[in-house]
Amino acid sequence: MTVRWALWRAWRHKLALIGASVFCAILVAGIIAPFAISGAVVRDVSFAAKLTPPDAAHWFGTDDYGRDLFSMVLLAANLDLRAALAVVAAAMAIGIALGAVAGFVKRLDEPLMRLTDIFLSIPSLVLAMAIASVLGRSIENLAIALVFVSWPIYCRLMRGQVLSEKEKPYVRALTVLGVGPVRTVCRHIVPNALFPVVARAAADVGLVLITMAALSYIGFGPGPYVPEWGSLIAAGQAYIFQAPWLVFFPGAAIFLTSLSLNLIGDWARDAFDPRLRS
Amino acid sequence: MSEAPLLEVTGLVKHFPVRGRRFGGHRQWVRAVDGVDFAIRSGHTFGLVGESGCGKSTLASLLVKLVEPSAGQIRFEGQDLGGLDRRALRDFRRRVQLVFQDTYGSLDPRQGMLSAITEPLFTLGIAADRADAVRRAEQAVALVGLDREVLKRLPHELSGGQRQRIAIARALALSPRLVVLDEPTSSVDVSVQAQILGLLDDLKQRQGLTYLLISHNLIVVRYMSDTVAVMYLGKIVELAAAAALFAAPLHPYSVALISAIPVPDPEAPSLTELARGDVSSPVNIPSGCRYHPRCPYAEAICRSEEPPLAEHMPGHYAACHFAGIAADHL
Amino acid sequence: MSVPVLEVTDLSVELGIGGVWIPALNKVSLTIARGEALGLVGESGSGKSLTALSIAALLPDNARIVGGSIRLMGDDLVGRSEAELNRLRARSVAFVFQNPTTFLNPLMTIGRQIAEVFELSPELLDPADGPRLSRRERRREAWRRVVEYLRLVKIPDPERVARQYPFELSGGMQQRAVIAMALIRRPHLVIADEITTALDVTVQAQILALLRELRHSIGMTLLMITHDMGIVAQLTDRVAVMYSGTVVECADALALFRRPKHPYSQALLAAVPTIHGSETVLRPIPGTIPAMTDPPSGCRFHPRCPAAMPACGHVVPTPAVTGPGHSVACHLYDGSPG
Repeated sequence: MTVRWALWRAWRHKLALIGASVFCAILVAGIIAPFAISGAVVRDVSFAAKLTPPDAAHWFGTDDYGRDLFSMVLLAANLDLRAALAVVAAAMAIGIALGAVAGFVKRLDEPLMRLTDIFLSIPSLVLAMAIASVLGRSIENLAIALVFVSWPIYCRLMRGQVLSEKEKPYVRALTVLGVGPVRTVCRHIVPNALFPVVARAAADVGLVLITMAALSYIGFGPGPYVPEWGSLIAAGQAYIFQAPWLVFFPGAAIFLTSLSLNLIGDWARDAFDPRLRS
Repeated sequence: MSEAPLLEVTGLVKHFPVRGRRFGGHRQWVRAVDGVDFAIRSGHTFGLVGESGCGKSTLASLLVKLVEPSAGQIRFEGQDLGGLDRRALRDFRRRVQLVFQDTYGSLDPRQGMLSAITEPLFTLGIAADRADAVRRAEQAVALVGLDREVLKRLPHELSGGQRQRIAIARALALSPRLVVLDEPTSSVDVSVQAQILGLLDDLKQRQGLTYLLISHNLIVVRYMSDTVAVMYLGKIVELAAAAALFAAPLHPYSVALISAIPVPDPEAPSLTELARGDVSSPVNIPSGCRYHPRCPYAEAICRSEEPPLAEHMPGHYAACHFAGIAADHL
Repeated sequence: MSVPVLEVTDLSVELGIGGVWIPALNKVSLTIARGEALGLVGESGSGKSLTALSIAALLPDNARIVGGSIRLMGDDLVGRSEAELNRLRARSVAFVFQNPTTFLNPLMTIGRQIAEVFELSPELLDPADGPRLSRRERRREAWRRVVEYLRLVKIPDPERVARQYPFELSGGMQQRAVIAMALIRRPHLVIADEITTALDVTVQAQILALLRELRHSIGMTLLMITHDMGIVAQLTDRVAVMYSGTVVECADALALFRRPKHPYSQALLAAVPTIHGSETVLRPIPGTIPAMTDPPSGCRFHPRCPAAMPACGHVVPTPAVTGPGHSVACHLYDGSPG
């Protein structure tokens, strides 16, 4: 019984370390990609080299335009990571702001909650598609669409946290000690309410990545000249039997990024929560 | 006797609405505090004792102006506390403080102890500058017998006893006149309890404090208080000097409370439980004397007429039609 | 001489904290004879709850038994498999926790919950001699017993209460129902862990009186865990005082209260305020309870002990018998030089 427990703990730590290293590797690759690889590779069409399997010259093989898949996957890493992080940061900021308002200002609570209800009841892919189709195909618009889809969850979460923090004894203690409401809110309640929301957001980066890839895949992403993991998979789908590497490598990139973020998120949740609670 | 009391409470009432309506019924109220009168003299310890639902916590909240009364008046240092402006409220907060029961919950989990103690010094305009605030914090912490080192800690790094002392230090740093102690030893061990009580006693002498001590633990109340009030379902049912109350309690509920305490002596007579059933709910307060459903001596008059808090002996008040009837059971 | 209901010998338990195994219980020994009530007293960190959980085989995942034996009706529990423990535990030990509200299932009626034990062990309903009962007869018998035990714990109108949900009952009634649930299995041992701490004092008095009566009426064997010396004095025959993971003194209740031998027992009794007498003197114990992660060497109480000798900081005292049924773990009594 206890051997299991000790193993589990070590295992969790190890997994988190693996996750962290994998994510760091992808992150570094994404950061140096635009510097190491010329963006022109996307237009480096060469029909002679098309659909070659992975070899020394082309580590991930080439696609149907003869472009080096490895370079494209790395460039896409840059794009995808930036977009996903931006989406989560923006959605979190909006969600936290509105959630805090809903938690503190009773009159605005109802309307804001109904607003989040509306957003949450529309299937996220449909909503994203609608917005993207109105705005046009580009990675920026895709990101905007995803912000619209993501903010309601953070809003709800923040509101719940604010409401529960407000009732805690230390808030009453601060009142008795003469600490004014504004200071109490800004310096005490909000920081304490933030943590679960931020933790959730960090864990969501992987999810956003996958959603973005899905939308790209079904055609709402940027065109074939902008490397993005999802659209790479979409393009490679037609050749799945002849050239499986076209789907495999971008897919593996999405999978590894999402998995490593989840592992880090799991560990972070365990590491921070009990200390605050006990 | 000629000196005016430090705190005077008259006809204090606090009712809370019960959330949610019953189908077709009228709104229900939690009558937490249902008409309370008492006074506290400067330099005294006033003990308030009662079980769950008696209203003592609500009363504490009313006295430190965490909530506003539904009716009645509180006078502190002769001044009516109703409708204070911001300045007067700040002054009031400097002079009346509360030490909370929940030692862990009453501290912001992310705030270090130094900040926890110095923050009110700034917001209430007591400290001149940062250096002054830090000095006062160090003094307060030394006063409660803690090492300066503790100021660097976060709440979860301290023991229950240390947190209780910090809560006291935080209140004392403001140099209040009246300190409301809400169950100051309920969440600590017996040995630590003894330390805290000794500390509180010592501080009272040295700083010239006045205490309102709220507890469900009669022994602690007896040990610390000069005057004791017993509360039940929102009203005071007995009020007397501590020694008089414990020597000769007049109200059957007081007798039940006292005799319910298990005595740490195997040869002492075994417990006689004199209260029947469970504590009633403050939503459905019984008619007449609110204690009658549990009272073994209840008669018809107890069910119909609520007894007033009357002075049965000099300085000894009880709200009972048959005051003194249960005294032989002790 | 009948087999003692419980015989714990040199039980040692470690807890896993922050990735390290830390000794939490150090050679704890206790014995409870049939029909006896033993009080296990201590403050926080004393290990009393952990001892009880070990006996009931309810240790959390991060705890492990590293030595000693726990004999329940003669059977050693240490080293048994999960399945065997479940079987032994179900028949022999009932555990009553502190907070009845969290213990009871809010979605099931009281009667149904109490009768659940018969769903797990239907053979309990069958008469000792005679044929097995049919399902319908079992249901009737289960109901009859539920009502019988609710009445035993002095719940008024037991048929009605058995049909109610937990939220409809007050704290005192819930605790009585939980006691009934414990007793209906006719366990050999009932372990009560701070069962009145969450109750009002008048309700606590009722529960304590109930426990006393149950001891008389059904000869209940009780291990009562508490920090309240008053409860110990009123309810138990013998007392074991624990401090920081060890039993420092074990004696008859009267002997302990009249002539406590271990300095911690003496200090504890002096720190408990009593209500009688005109003068209540409280003598606090200086210092604090040691952290489990960094205990003092030798006797764990020695930094706070007014009678500490040089040996106390080096050698852990082993329990020495100082009188009939009275043992103390202290160098003052084990004949060792100062």
